[in-house]
Amino acid sequence: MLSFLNSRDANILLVGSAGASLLVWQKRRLNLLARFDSSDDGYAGFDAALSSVINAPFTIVMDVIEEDFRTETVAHVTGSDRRALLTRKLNHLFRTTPYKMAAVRGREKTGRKDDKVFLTALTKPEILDPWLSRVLAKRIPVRAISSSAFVMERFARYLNINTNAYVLIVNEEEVIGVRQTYLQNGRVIFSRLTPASIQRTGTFEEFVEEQSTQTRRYLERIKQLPYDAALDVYVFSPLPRVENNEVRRDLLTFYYFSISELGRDFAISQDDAPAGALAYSLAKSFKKGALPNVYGPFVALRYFLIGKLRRNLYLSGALALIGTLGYLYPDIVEVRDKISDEQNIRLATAPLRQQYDTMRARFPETPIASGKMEVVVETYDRIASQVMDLSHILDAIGSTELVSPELQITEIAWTLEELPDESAEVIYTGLDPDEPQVVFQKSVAAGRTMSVVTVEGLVTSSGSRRESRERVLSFVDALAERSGLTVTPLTMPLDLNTASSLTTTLDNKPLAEDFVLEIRSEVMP
Amino acid sequence: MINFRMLSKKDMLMLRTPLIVFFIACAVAGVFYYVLGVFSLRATRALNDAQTQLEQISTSVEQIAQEEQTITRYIGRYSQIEADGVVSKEDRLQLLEDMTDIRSRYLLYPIDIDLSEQTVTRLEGDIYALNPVGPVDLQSTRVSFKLPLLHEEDFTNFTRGLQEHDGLLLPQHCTIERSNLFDMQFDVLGDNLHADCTFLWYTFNIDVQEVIPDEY
Repeated sequence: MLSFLNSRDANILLVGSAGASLLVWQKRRLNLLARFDSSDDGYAGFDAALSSVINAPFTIVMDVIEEDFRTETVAHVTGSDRRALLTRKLNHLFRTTPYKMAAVRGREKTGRKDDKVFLTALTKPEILDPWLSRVLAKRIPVRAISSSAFVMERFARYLNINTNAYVLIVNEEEVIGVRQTYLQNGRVIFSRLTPASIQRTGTFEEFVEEQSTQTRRYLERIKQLPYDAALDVYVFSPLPRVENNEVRRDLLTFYYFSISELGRDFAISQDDAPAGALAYSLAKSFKKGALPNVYGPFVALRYFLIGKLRRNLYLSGALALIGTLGYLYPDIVEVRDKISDEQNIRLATAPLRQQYDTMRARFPETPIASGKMEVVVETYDRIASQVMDLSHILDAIGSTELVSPELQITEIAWTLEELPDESAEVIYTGLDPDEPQVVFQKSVAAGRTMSVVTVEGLVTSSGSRRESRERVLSFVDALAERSGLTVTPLTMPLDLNTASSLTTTLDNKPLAEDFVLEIRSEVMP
Repeated sequence: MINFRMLSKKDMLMLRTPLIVFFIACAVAGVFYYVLGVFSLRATRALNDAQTQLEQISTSVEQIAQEEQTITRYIGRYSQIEADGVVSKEDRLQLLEDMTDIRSRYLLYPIDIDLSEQTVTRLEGDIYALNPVGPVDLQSTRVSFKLPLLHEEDFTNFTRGLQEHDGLLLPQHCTIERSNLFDMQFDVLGDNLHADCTFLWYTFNIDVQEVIPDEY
């Protein structure tokens, strides 16, 4: 359905005043299928031939006398104004034909610098209409409507003579006649056809020289060729005509070529009549692509454009699908992975659930929540660990070996002191944190307390201060050994510290002096 | 003669099928996009649900294992503590009865007892634990004793008697001093020593109602 749109195959209808030739470009060969006269029989034959043409769009090439070329200047405008101006100009000049074209070809270099506008038209649509209407009636797409003049323009490009400033291409076609196409810097300015039916006097070369001279005069008159400019005339005929290929006549230089020699290595069917420059150029054009449209209005090309639109719609639809799939492919993979992951997770969950149910079933009976139980037991143990056996201290102090008649204990004070620690793991609420009682309770609950036992006593001696001091020190050592705690003398019978003063009375009375000891025991949780 | 009107209805009909195909393709693409979005959302939710369930069940298993371990570790101690009456309201009457019993058993001098009002310290436990529990109140009452002593043995007997008491009593402060340093007569019945002690009597309240702060 869409194959012809992608293929370079083409049906070519070469239309002249007397008839039309149906050619086909297929497999890189240009073949003539049939010729049809401009008569009812010819049209009927064409109708029949259309049923068997290849599935490819039509390119119609007009080779008629009734093709007009104008070059004018208009005020320089751009955009939609330019389009409107050109349309108006075309309609004014070529009112009776829909096959017309206008293009701006640069600007003048002096004065208002107006735009140079090239306008052309097929002035006798009646020649084309019968053929075109039959093609369109069968809904066969028409890609382009062009003319021999524009085919010659491409021909000049293929021969690399399009860079010459002024070129006249003369091509002789067996059936149609001799066409002269004038190119300025490679662009068509003017073209005219001398039908083959005109009786020639003299040789082909004399005929060409005469026709070229006439054309030159005309071009000079319409100011498309300067009077003193040299004009290169390239003459192409199907067969070689002269011995000397280059002939100079004043400002005209003639170059003669044989198409049969040019096209020796080119795929033109040899079954047909000797191909002229037109066939050569057509083949070369289609080899490189297709002929561009020159005259075809939208309506004439609509099936081709509709086909193009259809193809674009199909392609767009396919692209939308493929593009969406491509765009979403990572998401598709992601969804697939998620589903797979979910299944794996659920598979992993099942045995855990079973394990949970089993553990739940054999869970021991408990009076309270395990966490509370832990808090209660841990706190209880911490507090219980701070309970010091007071009788143990008393037993240690009261040993007869330690307390002699010269050393008497007057007071034993036992105190639990707090060691505040803000980093305690247990959090307490409900009490003012600044209250001493709260601080103490926090320390107790956290197990950060210290037992401090203060032992006050009186040591007596007959008069030796050394004896009193040694008695106390002996008591300290013995107490530390028995209790296993740290015993620090706070106040000794005699302060021997050189940093402080010492005052005493030396007499005959027995000595009786106070001492204070401290026993510390830190309770760690 | 060619009719050079613009596109006819027949021409437009040529575009019908590709237009339909195009719009169907676009619609299918759109539907596919939407459906995939829905699937993606559902798959994400299902995956999140599955992950959440896995995490929950893992946490539950870990929790229950931890609870089991905790219970196994603490149930014996807790039962003992509970049996000792520490996890209950403090029984002041029982304390006084026990003191009376200690006094009569060891023939002690009269004992002055002063019980303060109870204070409460709230133990929140580990709020970041897998299975955070409600708070536990640590209740404490300051119990002060003042008693004259014939000799040190009285104090030793008194403290031993207290140790036999089921409650959790923590000595906070205790002072034993001689009543008369230079005139002690142990051959005459009288108070030679004087003890002044303060104990903290601890009990636990496990049935604590959590206080939810007022919402403004």
